Amino acid sequence: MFRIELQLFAKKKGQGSVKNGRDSNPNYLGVKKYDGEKVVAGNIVVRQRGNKFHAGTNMGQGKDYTLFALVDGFVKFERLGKTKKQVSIYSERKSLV
Amino acid sequence: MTEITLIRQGEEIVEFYGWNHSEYGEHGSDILCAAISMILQQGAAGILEYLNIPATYSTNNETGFLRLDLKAPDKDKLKKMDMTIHSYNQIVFKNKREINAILGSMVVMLDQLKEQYPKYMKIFEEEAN
Repeated sequence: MFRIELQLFAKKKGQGSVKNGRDSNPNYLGVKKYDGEKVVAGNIVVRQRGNKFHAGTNMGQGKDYTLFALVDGFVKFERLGKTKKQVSIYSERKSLV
Repeated sequence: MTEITLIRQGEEIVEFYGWNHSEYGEHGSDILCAAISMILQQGAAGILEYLNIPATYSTNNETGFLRLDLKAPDKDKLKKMDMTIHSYNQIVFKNKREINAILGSMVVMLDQLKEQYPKYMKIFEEEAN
């Protein structure tokens, strides 16, 4: 049965912030899911500024360069040409070898 | 900002996904989020429930994600419905007109919404590989 989610794109209330003398908020950038890790569709794999990693197979890219999984599967970090790197999602772990 | 990507094969939409929070309002009062959620889900429900096409469909509440892929059937549903990839493709082909009507009206609604809230949502179009 199809289940309706009325607030699929609403941000949930976060935790209250604690000030430690800093004047800006952290960016929480970096790799969120590592090579071989299982992901579900919509999971954020990399948060980055600019394309440190490019979007490979079954991977979406947001306006802020965030890479997210389009399908359920396993993360694979791959080479893209000689110097670049890309991240893909494969449905089976055997594809990682 | 919610980003919606429409993937077309020629003129026809064969896949779409929405991602990210609209951040128009707080959880519980974000009317734009509710509108986008309903429009995308109506498109998905039309395909999955009304036309009974077992396309791949996934959502993720945590990150704000919804995707429907007509190119690939949901393997579990396919098995339950005792269908093959061939019969799936036949059903998609047979219902092409209805699919275009459902997804075409979904795009009209999304475009209207984008006109009114350009700071909070974007629509991208891509060609299928």
